[in-house]
Amino acid sequence: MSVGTWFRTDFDEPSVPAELPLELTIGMHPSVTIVDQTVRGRGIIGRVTGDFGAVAVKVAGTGGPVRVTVSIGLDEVSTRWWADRVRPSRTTPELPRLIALRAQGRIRGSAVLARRQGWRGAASAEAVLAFDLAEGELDGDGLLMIELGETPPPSWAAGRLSVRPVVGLRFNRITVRESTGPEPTTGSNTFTGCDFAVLQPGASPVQRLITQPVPAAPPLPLTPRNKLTRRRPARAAFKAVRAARRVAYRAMPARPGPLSGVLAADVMTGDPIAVELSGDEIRLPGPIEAPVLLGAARPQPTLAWRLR
Amino acid sequence: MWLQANKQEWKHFLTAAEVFWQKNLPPASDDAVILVEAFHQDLRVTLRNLAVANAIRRMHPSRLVVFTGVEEAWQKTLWQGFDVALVRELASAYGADETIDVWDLVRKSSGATPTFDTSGYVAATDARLAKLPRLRPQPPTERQRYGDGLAAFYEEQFRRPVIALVTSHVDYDQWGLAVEVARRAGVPVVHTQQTGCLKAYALFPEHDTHTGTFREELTRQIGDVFETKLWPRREELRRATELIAWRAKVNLGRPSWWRGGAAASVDLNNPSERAVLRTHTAARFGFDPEKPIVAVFNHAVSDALGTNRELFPSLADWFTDTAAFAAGRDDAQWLFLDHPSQALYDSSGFFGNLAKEHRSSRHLVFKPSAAISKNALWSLTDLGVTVRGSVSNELPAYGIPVIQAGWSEWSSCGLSTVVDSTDAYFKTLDESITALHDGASLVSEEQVRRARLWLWLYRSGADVVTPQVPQWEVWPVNTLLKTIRATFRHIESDSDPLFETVERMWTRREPMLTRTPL
Repeated sequence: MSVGTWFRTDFDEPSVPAELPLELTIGMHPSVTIVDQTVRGRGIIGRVTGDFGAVAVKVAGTGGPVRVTVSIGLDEVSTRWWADRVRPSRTTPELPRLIALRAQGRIRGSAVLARRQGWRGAASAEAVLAFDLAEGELDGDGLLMIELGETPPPSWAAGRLSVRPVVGLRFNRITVRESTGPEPTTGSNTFTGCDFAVLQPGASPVQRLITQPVPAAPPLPLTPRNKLTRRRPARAAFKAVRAARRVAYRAMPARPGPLSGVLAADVMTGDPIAVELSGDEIRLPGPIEAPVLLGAARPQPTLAWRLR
Repeated sequence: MWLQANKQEWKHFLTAAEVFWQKNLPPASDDAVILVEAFHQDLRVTLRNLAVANAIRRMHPSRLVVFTGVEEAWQKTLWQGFDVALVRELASAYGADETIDVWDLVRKSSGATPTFDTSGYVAATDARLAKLPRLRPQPPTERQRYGDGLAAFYEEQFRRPVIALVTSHVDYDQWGLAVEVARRAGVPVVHTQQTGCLKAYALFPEHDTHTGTFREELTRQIGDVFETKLWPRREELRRATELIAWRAKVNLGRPSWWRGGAAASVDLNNPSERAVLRTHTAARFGFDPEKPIVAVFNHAVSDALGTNRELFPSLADWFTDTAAFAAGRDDAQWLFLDHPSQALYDSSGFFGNLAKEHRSSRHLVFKPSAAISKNALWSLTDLGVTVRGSVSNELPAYGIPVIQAGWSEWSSCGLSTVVDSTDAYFKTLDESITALHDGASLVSEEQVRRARLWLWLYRSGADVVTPQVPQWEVWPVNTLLKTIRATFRHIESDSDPLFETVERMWTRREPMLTRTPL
């Protein structure tokens, strides 16, 4: 199949491969060759507009193994973009987002993002995933393709995770350096902000679970569409109501109660994985080859998890 | 007319227009008339009609008659607010002698009978207004009465000495019947376009073979112009066509009206970039990137049915039959994309129902077109299929082959594979899939060059830049009015491209308005 031969016109600028080590933080960089369902940013690489979002970076690779680190962000604007496109119900609280990261066509890791709620607003959440590309994966063409995508949540997590989780997420930063030796895939090991956590491929099957209570998340604001509600007095009133609601949510004491148990599933397929819980120790059978989602057996939205 | 303009701005504009046209139009010496329609609610549409009509009046001093009005079904389905009084103000500022509320007359008339059968126009109008994917065998009797009333009214009007009919549309009852009557009366029809700066096609009676619809005649003539005037100049125009091809790729110039924003710009430059993206995008739809992927682009199902040559009885039949064929061909993967404006054209959930029917076929994927960026679309599509959609000129310009099951403006220009029977259609699909498996190329360099040259003709060569008609994107309405007011007040009209180009088209009897002599 020869489709693609005629994609070029005489006026296309050639993309400029970036040298290693690469630390990419803007979408306008000439090495950012393709963006798919992503808007290029000036302070960040880009922001995703669809159910999947991808960026392809031209890298002057040597063909040898490299270590790639991707930082993904969830901020106030993310939730605006999401609410404008998804139009959620007015009463559903903001839900954690479970995403899968693919690079060079293969799944590399997964992350769960939840914002920490405060009195006046919510803090941005960030997930950092680092993974190896084996020898030859970043070939002569040197196009590094990073894609954020959604996966169907396991049945026990349905309704507890955000639908269309990728919409609005930011590609904060991508770094690429030559690999010094095989290293395991790593994700963030801070509190996830919700009653879920993700184990990356290659992680230890024995983990220690630490929990802490967090404030509940209020529903997200919806951009008014009606001619009357779009006007200033109405919008000011909505804003005041939202602020009051947020304070009320924040003032509610978070009493998640004791851990309700742990369930596990393969992130990509949703297949259940047997998991043993003894004290604060979680034990999974065998080595972990694909990302695993761990979550509370019953919804405990005011409990944040951290795995160590 | 739908006009949310500032009242003061509107008044200033009308005054400026009135003074301008009073001085720029020679007085009519006899009772010859130019007929112009103002049935569309968008001011920009009617402005184009009036500007072209006045350009003709500069050559042929004549009286201007404006047809307007609104009927309930049109109002309900399409027009949010149509104000005949505003049309009258606008028409009179442009020097109209008469503004006739056609729908008012038709509503009041009882049992007028035209000399020809209007049922085709009536059925297509009914499907459009009821937003149905297929023609109803028995449209409501009132629609038929309206159709007959309109045709009879137009026949009466065309008994006058008519110089030209200027119309923004050529389909449905209120426009289509006027065009039909004009062609029967041997009157030139100028068809203005709702895009770009000023684009218009014209059908002159001496070029009208009366063997097909208005659009069929036009397709043939555009093909002729392209073949004889443009294709021989391809080397000279090479740089310009490349630039247009680049601008179209990054969504500059006339934007593809059916999608906008960041997802409408294409970054892909070569097969290897395409292959890298394809592994990712194919996975999103459960496709195997190694196997051929055919993208079928649904049309707005009730849009202008039966107005150009089509292989299937309706656009819905084409789409349904293609899906049925696809279901039996699992050696290819099929991506069925809905039209982005479908909600305005279909109330029956046609696309969703068809998707449900084929739910069990894993190699058929049905998606709204906004669910996929253009980058992703180009990375997946090995073959495009449409009836008359704009993808059939866009994709070949970048080397993606397209099969057309019907005619469009550009279908005689040799960009796509246009088939002429349903048997040939399925045979071509079959052969193309086999060829894709064999790794054969379905699109030639000549087709790519032709497609890029067509892009140039469509977006540049046949798009006249005149301050009288600001580009379609000059909007909102207050900005538009202010811009034209500045033209009327501050620009001298000598050699205005509006007048020069319309005169050239008129005297040379060319099928389209062109920026420069071709």
